[in-house]
Amino acid sequence: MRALEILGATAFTAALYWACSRVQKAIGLSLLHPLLLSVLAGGTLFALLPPVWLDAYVRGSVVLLWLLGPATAALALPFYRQRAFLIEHPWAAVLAALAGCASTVTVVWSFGSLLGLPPSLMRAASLKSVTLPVALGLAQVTHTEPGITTVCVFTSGLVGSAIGPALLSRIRVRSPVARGLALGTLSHAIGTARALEESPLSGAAGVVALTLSAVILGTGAIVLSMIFG
Amino acid sequence: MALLRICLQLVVLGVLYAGCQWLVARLGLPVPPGLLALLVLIGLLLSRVVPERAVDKGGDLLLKYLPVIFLPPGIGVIRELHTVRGHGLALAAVLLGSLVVGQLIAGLVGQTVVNREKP
Repeated sequence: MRALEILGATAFTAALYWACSRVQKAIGLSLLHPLLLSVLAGGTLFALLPPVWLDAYVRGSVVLLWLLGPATAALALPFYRQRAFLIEHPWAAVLAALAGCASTVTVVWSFGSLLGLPPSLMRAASLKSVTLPVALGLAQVTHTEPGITTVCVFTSGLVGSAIGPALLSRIRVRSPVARGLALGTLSHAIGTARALEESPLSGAAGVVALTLSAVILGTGAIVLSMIFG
Repeated sequence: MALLRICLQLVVLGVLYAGCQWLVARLGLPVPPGLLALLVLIGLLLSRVVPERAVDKGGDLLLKYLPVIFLPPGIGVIRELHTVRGHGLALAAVLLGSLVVGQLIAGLVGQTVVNREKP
């Protein structure tokens, strides 16, 4: 029974993602990311089915979710390949990532409290700029809903890469290094892909920034969760 | 042969992660094992204890199909929608506002430091 659930959930996930990739290619709109389409389609489907189906799917996806761990470790590869960038611009990279993380989390908690947002949602919103595999690990440690975290992270990636470049041009941030750092720090992998379209240097900055952002925000989240339990 | 290499590299990454999982559970650390595995692998690569070609093909494969692994938690959001009820607009405003401020500040700080680095 358990094996059947695992097999079924894995096959369903792969088939759904494959189908949505085909649809996205056919439409050719980059905002319709296959992951976004798959979550919308899968979410709608399970909302219509009796809840036991979703329970079985969640139970069956444990093997797939375990793979998130080794995949997170594999993020070391793109970072290692761009180590020349970090050696070239260590202070710009570290300070930009630190400033980006600190300011965005400050806005989440001040603006969020003002609007009466529950702490669990503010935690999810704080994790939005962390690359998703690390954010999901942090969600578990900080007792934050993984689904909401996924949506927040994805929003930050898609919206950030859509409006980021124009926003940065508006305040005259023209240095390819600074643009890549800003996109990578706040919009992780999707922002980095956008930065890479601007220039290889921006792409390298994005990769380094997304890794630093994950480490900085991760450390902050862990320390705060230890203090506040 | 190439397939065998990918499989062996996947095993290496899996063992690394399982080791971190064990360590985290053993010591009761409040750290996600994946993040620990990432930091350990960065350290191993930079210190050249592990060469890049020992994990490159398997790692690239995992990263290529990473979005697929996000589907279960993504779809699981429909179970958590009740936590957002009544706060949807506020959450969207907070996400957008904090995103814009963070990007602008990261960009400005990055540009200021880069300009100072120039001789």
